[in-house]
Amino acid sequence: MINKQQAFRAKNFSKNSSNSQIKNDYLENLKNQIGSIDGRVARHLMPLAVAPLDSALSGGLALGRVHMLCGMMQAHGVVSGFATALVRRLVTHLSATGKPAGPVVWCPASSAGGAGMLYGHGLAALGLDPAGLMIVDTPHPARRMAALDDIARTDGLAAVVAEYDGMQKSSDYWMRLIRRIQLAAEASRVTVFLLGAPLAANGCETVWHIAPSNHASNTAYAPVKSAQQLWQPAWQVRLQRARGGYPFQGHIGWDLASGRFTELTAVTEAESPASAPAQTLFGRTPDQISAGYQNRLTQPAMRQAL
Amino acid sequence: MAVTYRHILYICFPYLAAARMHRHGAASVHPMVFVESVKGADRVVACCPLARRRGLGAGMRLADARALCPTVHSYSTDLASDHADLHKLALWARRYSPLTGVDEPANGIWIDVAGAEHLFGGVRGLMADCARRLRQSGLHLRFAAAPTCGAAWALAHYARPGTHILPQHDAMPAAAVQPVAPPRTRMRASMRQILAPLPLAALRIETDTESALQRAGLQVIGDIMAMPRAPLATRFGNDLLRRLDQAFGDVQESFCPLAPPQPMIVSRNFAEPVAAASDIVAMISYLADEMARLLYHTGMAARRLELGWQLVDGGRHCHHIHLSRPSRQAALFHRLLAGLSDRINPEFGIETGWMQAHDCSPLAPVDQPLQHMATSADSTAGENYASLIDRLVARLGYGSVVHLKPQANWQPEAAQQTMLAELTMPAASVAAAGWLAPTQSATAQSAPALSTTAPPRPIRLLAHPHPIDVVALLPDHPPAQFIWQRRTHKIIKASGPERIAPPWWTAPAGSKSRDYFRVQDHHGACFWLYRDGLPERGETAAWFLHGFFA
Repeated sequence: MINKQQAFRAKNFSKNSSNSQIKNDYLENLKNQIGSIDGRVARHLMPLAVAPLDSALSGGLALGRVHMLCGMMQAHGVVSGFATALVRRLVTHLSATGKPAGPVVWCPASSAGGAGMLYGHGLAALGLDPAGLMIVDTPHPARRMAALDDIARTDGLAAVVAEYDGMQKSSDYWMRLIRRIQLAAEASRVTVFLLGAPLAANGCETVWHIAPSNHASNTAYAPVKSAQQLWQPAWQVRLQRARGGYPFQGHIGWDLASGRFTELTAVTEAESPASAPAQTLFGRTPDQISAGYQNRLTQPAMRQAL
Repeated sequence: MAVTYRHILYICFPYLAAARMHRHGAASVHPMVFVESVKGADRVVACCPLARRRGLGAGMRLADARALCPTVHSYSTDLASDHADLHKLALWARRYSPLTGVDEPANGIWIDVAGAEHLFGGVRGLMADCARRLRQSGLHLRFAAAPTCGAAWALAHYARPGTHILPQHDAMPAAAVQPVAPPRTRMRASMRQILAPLPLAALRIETDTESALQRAGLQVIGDIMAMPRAPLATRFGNDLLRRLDQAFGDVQESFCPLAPPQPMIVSRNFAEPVAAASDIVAMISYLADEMARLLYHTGMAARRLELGWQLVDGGRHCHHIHLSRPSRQAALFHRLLAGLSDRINPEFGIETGWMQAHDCSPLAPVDQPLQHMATSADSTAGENYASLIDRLVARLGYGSVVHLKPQANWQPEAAQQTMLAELTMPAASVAAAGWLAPTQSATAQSAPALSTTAPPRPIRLLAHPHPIDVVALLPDHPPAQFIWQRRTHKIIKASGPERIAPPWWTAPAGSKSRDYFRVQDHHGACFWLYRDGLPERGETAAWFLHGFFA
């Protein structure tokens, strides 16, 4: 119930209104209390530190909810890459709030198809520790989805990532499934990410469309900084739907060193890679290309090892 | 002093430790010795047959052994494992007789086959069967049958040294194989005849006593058999006479038989066959409760549960449930068994249901937490996580929940391994070790310096690389475009090559070096391609897609 002392303090602050931070906190607290009276669980938000994206999400990614990341099957690494970056950020966010981040459960698509299996070295390169990863490896998407309910109900997990590759189900099935996962996730405050082909009907908190970004080709003209900077992951992100927010479209990059999202300006049609001059080939400046292949971009560590 | 003669079979395993090493994958081309540190010097306590042939043996110093045989591999002796192996062998030998025991100091087992030998066609048939089975499993053995424990031990160790065949049995009194007991005197006379030429060490006496006897000119058992007892006892102690009497059966001697392990099993028999779904659920619930109670009372916890049922027509079925850690919680059993009743097809009815616990290990009783005391959040999280693994494994099948483990291997497909989650708990707090990436702390201040040295690795790797059609300049340029799944990808950016050669010491013949390229197509998607084979070496090159970058 609302505390009298807090109410008194808020009154004082409203009088001088100098400390707006505490006032905002108070209002947030009040909203949470009303929410708990109402039976709804308060939304915990994780800012993504990209201003336009955060404002579109009305503050940040809601934790303890179900989010859907859609992408074409051909771009499988892209969707899982964006999900990895989000999970990495989530783990950092949870550990920053003092709670030890629990394990991450990933239910990947069957590796028999063109999706490929999760590769620990690549996950580690994006900053997600594969040691804290539990992989639920079952080739049947329907059984995987049915078990998801059980997984999302478990306390102490950092996040759950599930892929529903190529499953043909009615929209009724999806609505019911997502609602069930949503209730389980709200109870345990585990954030769930669903990965797969775009779906018509769903009740997710946010729906994202992730495509590869051709933005990085712009940087090829710049003098080569380092191999890592040259190959910064970047995604073309379309936030199709966000509860309490508004749609967003843009290019989002991922800074490997600091583990942060960065906003990139989109490539215009005129300088799109199809019309890009041949010198951008292989990501090198023209003089480097003329130098031939003697100075390859092979990493020194690899050279030593071989 | 009438002691009944029995049929004692003594089996000695001189190379028990070596056999264990071979079982665990040690190469059998090198001689190996097992050493123990005695007064600061490494002494050989056991060896393998190969080392034995080179003249190495117990009691030798490791330095001497190395001088005799420079290629010898030495291992520290593991008495606990030796004892465990002997224990298992003795339990196995219960197939011949209910009375089996372990002779730990001499690496042997006793079997008292009296009254059971006729099941195998007499002692001779039993010994042949036993020797065949043990030799099939790769064990070297020496064994003997005798009417007393002491005589069997002496025959196994000292009769016809160096042979692995039945040492004394052909010459043994025919009485040993005859079902009717012979006159005691005849048996005794033949024992005297056979034991007399054996050295005194065959009597299991102390080394000091033995050397004292040797100084007195007494070498074999026959030397002291005829001597007056009183002076022997005065000079060498009562132990010598006791051992002598035990060997000839004048004093009763027996070994300590092993108690067989009790199977952890609970069962439920029905007066009338049951087929109703509710009855099956009740049966499972009853068995789970009983099993939890049984495990609690015995102080054990199970890693695997077997739920079995027998149908009216005699058909027996069972289902196994794997647990991520030893447990005896009834609530957990109930949860894991919850979905199982649907999978039981009772057909015309179930007559018997049982549940057996496997892989049991002792578990200290855990106090139930008091209601008003808050348990630490950490332990509950671990518990929840472990039970999640159990639930998922029970639901999706054994082997469906895995962890990733890095391997020190440059071949991309061999550089990670999946481990069953039931067996390994994740080390979330431990920093990423062994992964080909900079270990990034939460703040990641020092990461940029490290990240330049980490080779690029894709986030998803194809288990079997897909062949692709590539347009690339010869001999070693990165591709300009490639066709995968009937789609053309024009490449705008590439880096590489990173050359990964197959491990020549294990790779099959015909494995080629690979040149890996990281490429980006005109849509912006990044791929990991490689060329199999080096054109500069005159190999035909083929291109493959191996992974996807973020």
